[in-house]
Parts: sequence; structure tokens; C-alpha cells
Amino acid sequence: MEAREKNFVVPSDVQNEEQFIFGNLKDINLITAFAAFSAVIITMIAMILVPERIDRNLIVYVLLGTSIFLAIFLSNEKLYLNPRFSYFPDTVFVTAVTINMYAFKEFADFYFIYYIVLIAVDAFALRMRYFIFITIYMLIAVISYNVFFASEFFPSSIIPAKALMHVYSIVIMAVVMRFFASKALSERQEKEKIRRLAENTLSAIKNLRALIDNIGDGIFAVDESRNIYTSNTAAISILGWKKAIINRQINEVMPLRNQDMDIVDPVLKVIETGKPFKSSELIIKNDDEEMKLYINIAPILGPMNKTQGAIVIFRDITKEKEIEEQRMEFVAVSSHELRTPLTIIEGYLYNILNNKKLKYDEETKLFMEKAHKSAKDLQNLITDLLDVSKIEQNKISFDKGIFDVSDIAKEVFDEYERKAKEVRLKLTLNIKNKKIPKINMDRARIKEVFINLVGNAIKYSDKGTIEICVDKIDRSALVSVKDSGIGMSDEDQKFIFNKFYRAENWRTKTKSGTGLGLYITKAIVENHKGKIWVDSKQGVGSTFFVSLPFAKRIARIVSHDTAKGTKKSNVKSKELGKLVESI
Amino acid sequence: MANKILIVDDDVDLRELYKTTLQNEGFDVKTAENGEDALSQIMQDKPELIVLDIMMPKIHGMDTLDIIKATPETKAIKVLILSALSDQKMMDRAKELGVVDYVVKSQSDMSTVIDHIKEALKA
Amino acid sequence: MTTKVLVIEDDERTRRLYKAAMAFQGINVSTAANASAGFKKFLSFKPDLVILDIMLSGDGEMNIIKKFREHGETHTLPVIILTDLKDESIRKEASILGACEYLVKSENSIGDLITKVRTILKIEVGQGAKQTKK
Repeated sequence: MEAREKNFVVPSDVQNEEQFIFGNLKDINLITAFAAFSAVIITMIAMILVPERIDRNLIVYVLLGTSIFLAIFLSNEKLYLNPRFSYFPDTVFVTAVTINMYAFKEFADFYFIYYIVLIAVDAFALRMRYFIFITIYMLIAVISYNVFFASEFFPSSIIPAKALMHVYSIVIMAVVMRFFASKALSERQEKEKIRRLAENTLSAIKNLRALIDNIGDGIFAVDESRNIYTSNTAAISILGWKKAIINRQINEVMPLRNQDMDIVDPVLKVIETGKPFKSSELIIKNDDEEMKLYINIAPILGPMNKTQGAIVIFRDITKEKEIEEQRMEFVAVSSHELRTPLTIIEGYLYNILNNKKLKYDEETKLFMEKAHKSAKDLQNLITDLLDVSKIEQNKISFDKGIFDVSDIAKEVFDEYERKAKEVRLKLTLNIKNKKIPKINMDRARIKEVFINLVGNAIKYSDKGTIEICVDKIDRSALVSVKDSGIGMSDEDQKFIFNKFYRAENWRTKTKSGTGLGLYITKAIVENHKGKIWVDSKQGVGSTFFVSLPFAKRIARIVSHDTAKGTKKSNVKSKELGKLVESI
Repeated sequence: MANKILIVDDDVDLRELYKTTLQNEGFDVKTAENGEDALSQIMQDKPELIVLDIMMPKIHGMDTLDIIKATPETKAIKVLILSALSDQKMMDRAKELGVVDYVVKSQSDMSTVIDHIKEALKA
Repeated sequence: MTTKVLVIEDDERTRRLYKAAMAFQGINVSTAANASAGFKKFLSFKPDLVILDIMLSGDGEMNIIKKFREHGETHTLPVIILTDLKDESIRKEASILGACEYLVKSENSIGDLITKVRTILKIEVGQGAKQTKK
């Protein structure tokens, strides 16, 4: 039986569901065999007890026939295992029972019980269609018996009643047992489903676990009390944590500090606010060693968006930071080193050109002027390159302060009014809106932005007026620099903010300029969450627009880290609350 | 009577350059290579303007500035910072101590530096 | 008569700074790198004021003040203590020892030190930034 059972393993589940509802083929056959066996015993007892009243020969033939059939059927796997032949034995039994009912004469109802037993077993064993077939066959058999054979032993008046009783019993049994069988089946199917789900889930978890453990970054999952309930191997090895980790507070395992070595708790913040957090600036200090981390904390949201915990992913970036620092240092030192000799070159060329005692001809003077100009260009280029390198590495830092954009515009206007006049251009300042709220930005850098735009306007105009306009739109200050210079094509407008891009006619117009000015200007503006764009027409002029969002006003929230970035209010006007640096 | 200017910078080439340029503009120029040197020169002959670099060995430029401004006898001497550093904090501190101007070397060509120096003397 | 100041400071760079700052005031300066050398200098140099840097090593710097006090005529010798430690016990001890001023290095600059010295020693305007003969 073992071998046969094994054959069944793969298709058995499927096949079992198809043909048998309850138990497997083995069980069914066992029950049926038991029923058949008990029928044999009863028959033999009956034969012994009331030999004269029953047709012994017939009974023996039936028993023999059934036995032979069973022997053939059960010995041949092809018949035995074929689901299509599953109802064969039952059909044979029904036939045998019906014949024996006839053989038992008045004691026919003795045997009737086997119909009921069979129906009950089949209700659980057979598929609907086979079950219906067997039921119908049984009904036909029992009605045939009543119609053709019952009258031999029972008064005709009773027979309809008997027939009805027989039919009724079979039908009721069929319906009731089938009902329970269906219930049992659904329950079993449910259990199967759950079991399979559990198996799949477990296997999925195992796979996920293996995946997570193979990730190089450390991963922790914490609950809302910040206790760790999951960690991967990388997390433990990165932190060098040797003791048990589950259910510890994450602060204990990962005591995070900021650059100033103050203890910080971003996990708490994420759980409280439900907002994710990311940083490359945090440090863990263990005894003498400092580990710089990249950390990414995401909240785990439960029903109704309530935070149930957090996932913390982190990585040791000490090495990367070191490399970056070295690179930054190299860039800074190189540019410093480059500048000194350049200062000397530019300085002496300036001296030559401005020393009245020196005598040289016009040609020499011209050469000197060209050299001097190039030296100045080189100085600007180095400054720009350093800025670009800082921007690209996100190392550019801003000293934010609160100021009036109109003040800066006025400063730039004052500085460039004369220069504009020197090249026969007129510079005007138009402050359209006197009540423009202040902005919270790096004053020097923003001034650089305006200087760049005004400088460009002057450079690329032959004639006309350059207008600096200060206005406001929505919640931003809007500054525009409008010129009536050479303008640029639509094509150029698309690329004008790219590194080293020079509009075609700009290139022919003048060879100076680094091509980086607008790139840097755009980076500064966008780093302050502003926008910059241009509207230009070739041959007519260009207008550059810069929008800079106003400083955010938030009523003073009681928070423990107002230290970084909060500037004491130096605003004269009476505003509600204090001005707090925007994120 | 030419204005007396003291240039303090650790780079000898720059020192020479500024000296030459300013002399050409008609100023009486002396140079010092560090804070100590600068202080001893001031004791000998007080200038009207000190052009002071910040990144210097031995004594930091800001400390030199501090000493000059804390000593009543030299407090009134005008100081112009000429430095490669463009750190806002440094600039704020310098302004606090009472410099007349802060010029960033990398952002200024010679013409600009001379302009600032002239402006400082007028102030 | 020129005033004399003794500077006891272990960091070379800082020592140089204090010396230059004091010399600029027209003060005759002497320096020492630690407490024991400082006491020796004190005996030979006989300063009018001592600038003393208290460090973490706590190598008996406070004790040296006691020694100054015990040395007879100099029990009123003004001592300016410079420290980065915001240690109350040092402050208390300093006040017990008397005639001590206390400056926290991280909150005070060299300019503050100069002002204090000039005030204590009553150095008049005109003495400083003078060409010293020699």
C-alpha cells in the first residue's frame, strides 16, 4: 500500500479532490470492503439461522460473483486507480444487494440497510455525477425489486408503501449525507487552502529572509516603541553587535549622533510624524571609533495611516566620506594653488598696463591687454569650476539669512549703473511692488545671481535699456532682467542653462565668459527652491526671470531642536510668531 | 604726504606684487610676512592702513587683528582683510572686530583690490 | 618701569600668541611651558602678573598659585586663569586663593585677555605698541 500511496502523492491531491471528497482511495476502499465484509457475515449468519426461508443458492452465487469481481477489480491497478471506474464496485454492490434482497424473501429489509450504508459512504466518497448515478441506480434497483419481486413475499397492498419507504429512505439519506459531505468538503478545502497559504507564506518568508540577509545594507524593523523585531545579518555585522538584538531599543544598538556629536533620534521622529527620513551626515561613536552612516528611515503605516513602526536601512559610508573629503580637499587645494600664480600674472600685467613710468608702443600695449584679459578670464573660470564641482557633489553650502530682495536689487543696480553707462547702455531699476515679503536665502549667492544676469545683459547688448524689475507672484518674489540685446533662438533657450553652453550668436559676439555662469546661477536658484527661466527673441532682446519663494512663517512650535537654522527674529514688522527657516 | 600701508601676507610673491602695485599708485608700502612680524613693524612705524591676510602661520590673522584692535594705541588703524577665505562666519567676526573692509582674493582682480584699498583709506 | 608678566602655557602656538600680545602692550614678557618651570621663572623673573593656563592634566597648576601666595610678598600677585573647563571647583578654588581672574578660553578672545591685563595692571594708553629699545 505504501508504494501505491506514493504514486498518489502528486496527483493524489488533485485527483482526490476530483473524485473523493473525504479521505483517500485507500480509506474509501477500506470502508467499502468493510461494508461488503459485514454483509457477507450477516448473510452467513442469516443462512445459518433461517436456512429454509431464504434462497441459499442464490445468495452463494451472488457472494461468489461479487467476490470474483472484487478480486479482479482490486488486483488490477488500471481498474482500481482509474477514477472513471470508481463507481464500478458500488454498482456491483447495489446489484448484489438487490438480488440478495430477493434471496432473503421476507427478510429482504434486513439487507436494505446496505443501501443506506452505501449511500452514506458514497455521499462522502464520490463526485456529484457519480453519486447521482449511484443514487439513481439504487432507486431503479429498489423500485424494480418492489415492482417485480416483492409481490412474491409481501401482500400487494403493502408494496406501494414499502416502495415509498425504500425510495424515501434512500433519497433522504442521499440528501442529508451529501449535505454534510459538502460541508465537510468545504471545511477541508478551507483547511487545505489555509495550509497551502501558510506553506507558501512560510516559503516566501524564507526566500525573503535569504534575500534580506544577502543585502549588504543593514536593515532593522522596529515597532512603535522602537524595539527591534527584525534585523538582517548585515545590520549586526556592520554594528559589530555581539549580544542578542531582538527586542532591544534601537537607540541602544545604534546610538546616532549628528556632526556636532549631539545625540539625535530620527527614528522617534519618523514614528511620531509618519514622515520618512534620510541622511548621510549621522555618526555612530563606539569608544574610539567613529562610523559615518547613510541612513534611510521609512515609517510602517497601519490601518488609518497610523504609524506602527519603522524600517531602518543603513550603510557604513565612512570610507566613501573619507574619499570624498580627500577629493574636496584636493579640489580646494588645487584651485587655491592655481589661483596664486594666476594672481601674480594678472597683478603684474595690471601693473604694466597701469604704470605710467613704463614706456611701450601700442602693439605691446595691445598684447598686454589681451594677456591681462585672459588672465582675468582664467581667474573667473577657476572660481566657476570650483563652484560647479561643489554643486555637483552637493557640497555647496548656503549661509541663509533673511533679507529683502529689493535691497539686493538696489545694490546690484548701484554697482552696475556706472558700468552700463560706460558702454552706453542705460540701467534702470523698477520696484513694482513695495510690499514684498522677505526671503530666507544666502544673501551673497543671490546677489551673485543678479550680478550674473545683469552682467550678461550688459555684455550682450549694444544699445538700449536694461531693466531690473522686482515684483511678486503667488508666494514668491519675481525679479526679471530685461535687455534689448541680441537675443537668442528658441533652440538656444532650451540649452542656455547647460554647462559650457554658449548660444551661437553669443559665441561670435564675445569670447569671454566661462559658459558656466548660467549653470551656476540656475543651481543657486534651484537650491533655494526658486525657479529661473528665459524669454527671448533673436535680434530683439532677452528677459531672464527668477522667482524666489518667500520665507515661511510658522507659529513658534515647541520643538527641542530649534537650534539649527533658526534665526532670531530681526524683522521689524509685527508678524505672528517667529520666522523659522524653511526645510 | 603718502599714505602708509602695511601689507601682511605669508606668500612672498603676493607681498611683492601688492607692494609694487601700491607703490606705483603712490603709496608708502611696507610688508610683513606674519603676525609677529606685523606687530613688531607696527611698533616701529604705525601705518594708516593694514592689508591683512588671514591664513598665516605662527599667529592666525584674526588673532593679529584682535590684538591690534584690543590695544588702545593701535585701535584706530584701519584694517582691510584680503583673504582667500570667503567664510561668512569669518567675515562676521572681522566686521565685529572693526575692519573697514573684507576683500576675497579669489573674487577680485588687481583693479578691484586697489579700488577697495583706496576706498578704505578714504573712509 | 615696564610691567612684567609671566605666561605659563603648555601649547607652543598659544604661548607664542600670548607673548606677542603682551609684548605689543609694551609689557616685558617671560614664558614657561609647565608649572614647575613656571615657578622657577616666577622666582627669578618676579612678574607683576601671571597668566596661567589650566589644562586637563591638572598637573598641579592650582597648586602653583598656592606657592605664589605662600611666597610672602607676592600674596596679592594677580593671576589670570585661563581654562576651557567649565569646572566650578576651579572657580571656587581660584576665589579662595584670591586675586584671581578667570577667563574661559572658548568664550574669550585674545583681545579680551589684553583688555583684562591692561585693566589689572593699570597700563596707560601710550605704553603699548611702542618701539622697545634693544
